[in-house]
Amino acid sequence: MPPVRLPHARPLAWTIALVALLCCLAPQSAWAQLADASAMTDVPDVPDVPDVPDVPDVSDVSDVTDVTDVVDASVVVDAGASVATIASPSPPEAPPPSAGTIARVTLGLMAILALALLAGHPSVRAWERRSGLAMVTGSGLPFLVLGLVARRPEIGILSPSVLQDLRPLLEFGLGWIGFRVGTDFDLRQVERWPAGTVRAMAIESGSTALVVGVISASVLALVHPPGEALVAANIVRNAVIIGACAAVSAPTGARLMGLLGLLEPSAARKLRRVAALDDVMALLAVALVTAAFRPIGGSAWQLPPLGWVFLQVGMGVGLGLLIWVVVRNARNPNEDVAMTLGALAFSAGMAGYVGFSPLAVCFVSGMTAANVPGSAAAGSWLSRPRFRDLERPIYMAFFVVVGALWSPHDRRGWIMLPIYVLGRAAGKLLGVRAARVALAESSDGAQPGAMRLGPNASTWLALLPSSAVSIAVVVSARSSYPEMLKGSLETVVIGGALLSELVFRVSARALAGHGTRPGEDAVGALSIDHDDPDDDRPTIPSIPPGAPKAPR
Amino acid sequence: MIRSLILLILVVALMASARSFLGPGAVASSDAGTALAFGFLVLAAIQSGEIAAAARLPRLTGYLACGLACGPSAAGLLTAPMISSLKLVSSVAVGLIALSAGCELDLKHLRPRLRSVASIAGLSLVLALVAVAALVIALSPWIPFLRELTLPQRQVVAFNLGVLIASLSPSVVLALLSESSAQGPVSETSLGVVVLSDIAVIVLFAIGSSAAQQVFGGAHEAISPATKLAIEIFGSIAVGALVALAIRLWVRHVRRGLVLFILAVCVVAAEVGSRLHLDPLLINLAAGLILQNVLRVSGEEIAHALEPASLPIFAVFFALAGAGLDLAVVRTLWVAALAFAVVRGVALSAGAVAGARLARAEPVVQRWAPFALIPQAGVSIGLAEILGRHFPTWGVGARALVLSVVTINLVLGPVLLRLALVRSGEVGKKGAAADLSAPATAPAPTAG
Repeated sequence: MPPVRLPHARPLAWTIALVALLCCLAPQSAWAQLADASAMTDVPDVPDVPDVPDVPDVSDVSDVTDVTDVVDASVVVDAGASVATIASPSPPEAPPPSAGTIARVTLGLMAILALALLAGHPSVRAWERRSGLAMVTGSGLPFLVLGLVARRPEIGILSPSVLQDLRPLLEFGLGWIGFRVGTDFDLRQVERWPAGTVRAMAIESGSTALVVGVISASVLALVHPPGEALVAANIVRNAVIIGACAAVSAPTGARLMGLLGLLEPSAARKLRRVAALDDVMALLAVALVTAAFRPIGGSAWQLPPLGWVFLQVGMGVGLGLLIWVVVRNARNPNEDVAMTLGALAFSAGMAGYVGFSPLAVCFVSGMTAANVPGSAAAGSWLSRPRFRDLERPIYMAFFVVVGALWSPHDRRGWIMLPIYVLGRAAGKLLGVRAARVALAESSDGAQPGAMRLGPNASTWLALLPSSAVSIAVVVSARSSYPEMLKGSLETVVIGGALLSELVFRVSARALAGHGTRPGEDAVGALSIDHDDPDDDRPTIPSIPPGAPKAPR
Repeated sequence: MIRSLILLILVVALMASARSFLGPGAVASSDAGTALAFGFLVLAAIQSGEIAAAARLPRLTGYLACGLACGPSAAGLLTAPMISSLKLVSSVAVGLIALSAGCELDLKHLRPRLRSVASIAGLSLVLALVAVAALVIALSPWIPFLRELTLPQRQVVAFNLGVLIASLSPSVVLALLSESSAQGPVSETSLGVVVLSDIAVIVLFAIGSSAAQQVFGGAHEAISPATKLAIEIFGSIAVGALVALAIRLWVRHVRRGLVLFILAVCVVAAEVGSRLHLDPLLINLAAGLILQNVLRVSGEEIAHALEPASLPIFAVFFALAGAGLDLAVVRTLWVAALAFAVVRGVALSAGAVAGARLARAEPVVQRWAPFALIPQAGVSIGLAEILGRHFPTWGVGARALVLSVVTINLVLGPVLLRLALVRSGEVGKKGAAADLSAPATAPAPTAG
């Protein structure tokens, strides 16, 4: 009998070895503390060094008379001193770390980054599918936990200073996710959708957001710490954010049901469209929140909330056009990648800089770039091979940073978690029922080919789990409002996403009555993998090496 | 060129509008500021590079000009905190540049040129150091931060200034060689000379600063300067060996995603190096050299695999270098700076010509290699900042002077080097740039 050989077993062996290395790197005391429930103590937040407006430039010596000779030497000292004032603040030096700490940090950082890269390796992904772990690993949750653990002071791999350097990844990752959702939203496809699809989505996700929002607001008011002032506006803001997170459903869940035979392929496709539209609803809610509850006070621009909404949309459209133009101007694939990454960082950074959500602004940018009239090539920008290799490592590194910044110590998060999951299910059921009634009563429902939600599809639509976008929404909100509930919203949303995924999978398998089918595990609802065989959108053709530019 | 100009104007206008958002009391997220600055630098610098290329200047000059124009001392589109927050990007860029340089240095292939390299590097560095130090001593009665010092103290300061002002720039030379796809005797000799000089400058600086510590006192250090120097050099080489080993293992066992892995390695080297006071340039240079010459991984192919990352990295790195320059200081010190820059240039060129003749290098090397010694960048700035911090009585003034000289050499150096490469006929000899659309391949380790 020939020996069984795993294809590309080396990357897999590396992955296992690196996980083992990380386990060994953690000191025993850390494991003991992690195992202990009391380990959920507050980890001091990484200080967010704000970008302040320019201070008066003390280095400006332009008023000094031009030196025409070295003899006029007092200026040398003056200029030098002023330079030192602005550029060489000498912070107090920290005590030098021990050799063991240095070795642990070096190896730990290397292992985390290598794992993030290996997670995208085809053979590792194939192994994940074979072993049924694709849902867990594809969701990025292991990396989230990795970040959470690596930040513990006892482990110290992601020390505050290292984390401070990596934090911009958060803005970039949010921008990437928003852009990705936006470019996947092809308006030319919307015209071909059955009538009533948008209405069904609006009712379904709106009802969910409303139910969860109202319940959350009530609970938040009830569990409010007695010593702190109860600010109604903050409760409303937090409730809207939780509602938006709850509204999000995973389109890949619908695909899973198609694979399991629980739904007809056409019904599964309809369900996917409705679920994909949920993301839009959540991103709009985030945009409204940052417009109504401005995170940056004292800005030079004074606008009414509606003005901020228009500004966000305008910024998104403008940046989308900019991205489209710079990428069209790329002369070769290297420049294409550089310009796309640069434009995305620019868009995400600009959105965050003026206090908007990078997620929402980059969503509009992505939608604009993908739907510029006459751009038959635009469709799924980030699905091109050169971006596919980048996407998973970017997501994984993003999740590591998210995990490192997550503080699961606030008990309000854990109190709200079951309420959130139950409220979400109730809201979805209510919303789906309302959508069915609305569709049946409208004239659209009578038209041939119109959107209809059968009882089976309706139930499944209500049970669809959250997607990774819900985590991005809450991270974006936390980035805008750092003091928001001391991180307990992340606990609610991340825990809720996990629980809803679990409930969905268990019920789907139980109803399907059979084991895993090929490809099933590749479509975990939280999965960040976007392989979609149903996808018939046009894609941007690769720019061949040395190809002449397209005529403009 | 017109299209690039329009795009540049568009990006600058967007950045200016975003920057106008913050009022006197407003505070934006530093993460957003970092992402904004990074994105802006990538877009604006690449367009500036295109404009420079259309004007037959090095792209690098465009990147520098973009940073200089948008930096805190000019238009103020980039603030000092933004530049400071991109320190990691700078360190990673230095790491990548050094790794590529190390990978390109095949000692076996370079052996016939080693004599020329050593001779040019040694003579030019010594001559420039002596000339600059002599000028410092001669002008010391008129230089305020030297006026009150005793003769031995002046001599120590002169030595330190000589080392800093005589230092070269491996990053600029490598970036220009990469940009112009140059290959030939001038390119190979230049690369070897700047790398060797860089190592020599680090050693000389450690000697100079330890001498300064003896003469001026300064902050009490737990370890001696010699130990510090040994840790910096040998520690960097040891970490470089580890980096090389990690890359070798990745190439051998994983292969895919090599560029991302190397970027990750450079991030770790930068983070750990800054805490251990190791030199990221030396770490990655050692890694590249070990990969190419000891571990028998095709360094040229690694350098080729890194080409896709080089565009944004070079653009941001040199734009940041430009943004970090202080025009106000240059405006104030331009006469002194010009004098030092001229003396440095003449001394380096004379030393290079003498060294090349002594080693009987090819005529083309004798004629054009001296131009590779003019550019000056990050090494001098970094070392000058250390001086400024450790010796506030005179180091601050010395730092201002060095920065002014670096500004002149950073602006003129790349133009002169490109001219030399064009005239020596080595531009474009290396073949077309790598294509990212090609299937992801990793360099194969050679047998053995």
